Parts: sequence; structure tokens; C-alpha cells
Amino acid sequence: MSKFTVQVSTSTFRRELRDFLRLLPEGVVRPAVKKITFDVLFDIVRGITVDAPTRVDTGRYRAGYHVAAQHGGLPGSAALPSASTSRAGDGSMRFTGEGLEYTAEVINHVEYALLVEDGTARMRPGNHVKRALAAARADVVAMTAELRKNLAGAFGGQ
Amino acid sequence: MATHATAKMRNVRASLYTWLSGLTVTGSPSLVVQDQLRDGQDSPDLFMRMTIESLPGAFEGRFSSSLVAVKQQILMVVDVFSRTPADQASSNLYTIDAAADDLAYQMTLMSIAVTDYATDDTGATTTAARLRNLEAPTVRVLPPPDGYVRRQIQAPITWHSRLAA
Repeated sequence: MSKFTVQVSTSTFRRELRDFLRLLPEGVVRPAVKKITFDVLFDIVRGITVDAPTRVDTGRYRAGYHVAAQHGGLPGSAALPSASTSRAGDGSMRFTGEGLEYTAEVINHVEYALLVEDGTARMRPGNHVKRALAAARADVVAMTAELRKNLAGAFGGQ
Repeated sequence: MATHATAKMRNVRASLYTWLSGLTVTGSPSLVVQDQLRDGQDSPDLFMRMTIESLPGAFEGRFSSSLVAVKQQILMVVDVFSRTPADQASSNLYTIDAAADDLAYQMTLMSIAVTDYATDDTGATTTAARLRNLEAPTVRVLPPPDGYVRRQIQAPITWHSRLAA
């Protein structure tokens, strides 16, 4: 007959948990925000290019997101389409916040950007940004639900 | 194999169009759908344009021995337009805001039956699926670049479609 004893040190567990949470923003939150930002930008330019209504003439508005991604040093920015008609300052990106509150701000400065996205009284809106954000939001909600389920399962909950 | 009625965007679009055009909204705006141009472009009356954008669906499981269920989502965007007050002898500046509020209220917790217009153009054939919004719609005030003041109301709509499998 064998016998063993398991001893759990709650103080050690709490310390380890605290260390893990402290590392979370650097190791998880920032890359996650950048990945979601890239996914949204990729979805926007895909929408402008292939989803009705496609809105590409000179490609300058679409390339504004490439300029923004490069400005913000976003990994993978080269995958976003550029254009010879682009001008410096057509897009900008910045990351702000600390810890778990980390925010990406993307601006397309091309002067007719609003008209392409929201249309006019005589032209239907493109809705490329709205659609990409809604899709990303649905993804995040699904991922969060999956994570919650996995964590609950790992700790024996429902 | 025929596409199930709940999976036809034509039915979803027509169901939303019929519902929207039947609402009581301040200013009684006429309805323009997607790419259509409005009749009487220079009319001072309010009008609204509905656009629908498809979002990725998610497989949910089997519905029956021959059908699977898919959670579908779309983004419904309604733009309300009114000529800028400078173009008119007199106007009520609050009418467009009241119209936007009416629409946002009606779109909150909306639940509309998906009607099978592909089978019957009169809309007499309903399906068990319902178009629902479980969130408060957002209302944006957009700048008037082309002689119209404008409010934009948007909400995500979900429903459960069925696919043969």
C-alpha cells in the first residue's frame, strides 16, 4: 500500500498567480491587441477590395491603412496593400494605455475616407470598417467564451 | 438540394425591409434599400437607407437528421437623411433626432420572424427562425457633406439558419 500527501501552499500559489498576472499585459495583452488590430485592418482592406460595394479607384484610401500600420510599427504591415498615390500622413496609428487597458487607435486621414465608409445621400455606405469591427468583436466574444469554458473545466467548474 | 428558407439572404433582407417600412417613425421617412437611388432627390422630406452587411456565421450543431444549425449574424445600418435647414424656408431641427430615437427604440430587443418570400411573394409563409437584436443600437451624428443632415443607427442582428447536411 502506498500513501502520499499533497500539501498546497496558498501563499505560494497566490504569489505565483500574482507574478503570472503581472506578466500578462506584456506577454499576452499587447500581442493580442496588435493581432486583433492587424486582423481588423486586413478585413477592412479585403472588404474594400472584394466585398460589394468595392471602392477602389486610385487605391489611396485603402493604402491609408497600410500607411497607418507602418506608422504604428504593426507586425505584418507589409501584407496590407500600398499605392503609388499614397501621401505621407494618410494614416496614423498609436498604442496607448497600461496593463490590461491597452488600446490601439487607427486613423485614416484621407479626406474622402468618411464618404467611402458612410456613403452619401446618393451613394450607399461601404461599411467596411463597421463590418470588420463587428466581425472582430464576434470573434473576441467567442474566444472569451471558449477561454472561460476551458478555465472552468480546468478547475473542475461548469 | 434546395437552400433552406432560413439560410436565404433574400428572405432576411425582405423580412427586415418589410418590418422597417411598416414602423411608425417621426417624420414618416420613406425607405431606400441598399444601392437604390431615392425618388425625388430634392424633396425636403426625410428618408432613410437600410444596408445589411453579412458577418461570419458559426456552426452550432445538428438541427435534425437532415439539417445543421448555423448561427448567422449581420450588421443592420439605417441612415436617416434630411435636407440641411439652410435649404428650407422652415424646418424642425429635432425631427431627424426624433426619427433616429424612434428607430433605435424599435431596433432595441427587436424580434422579427424570417418570412419565406422565396416561396410566396406575399410574405404569408413564415419560418421558425427569428431575427433578433440583443444590444442597444448605436446612434451616430454624421457630418453633412452633401446638403443633408444625417443620423446613423446600427445594430447586430442574429438568427439561427438551417442548412442541409
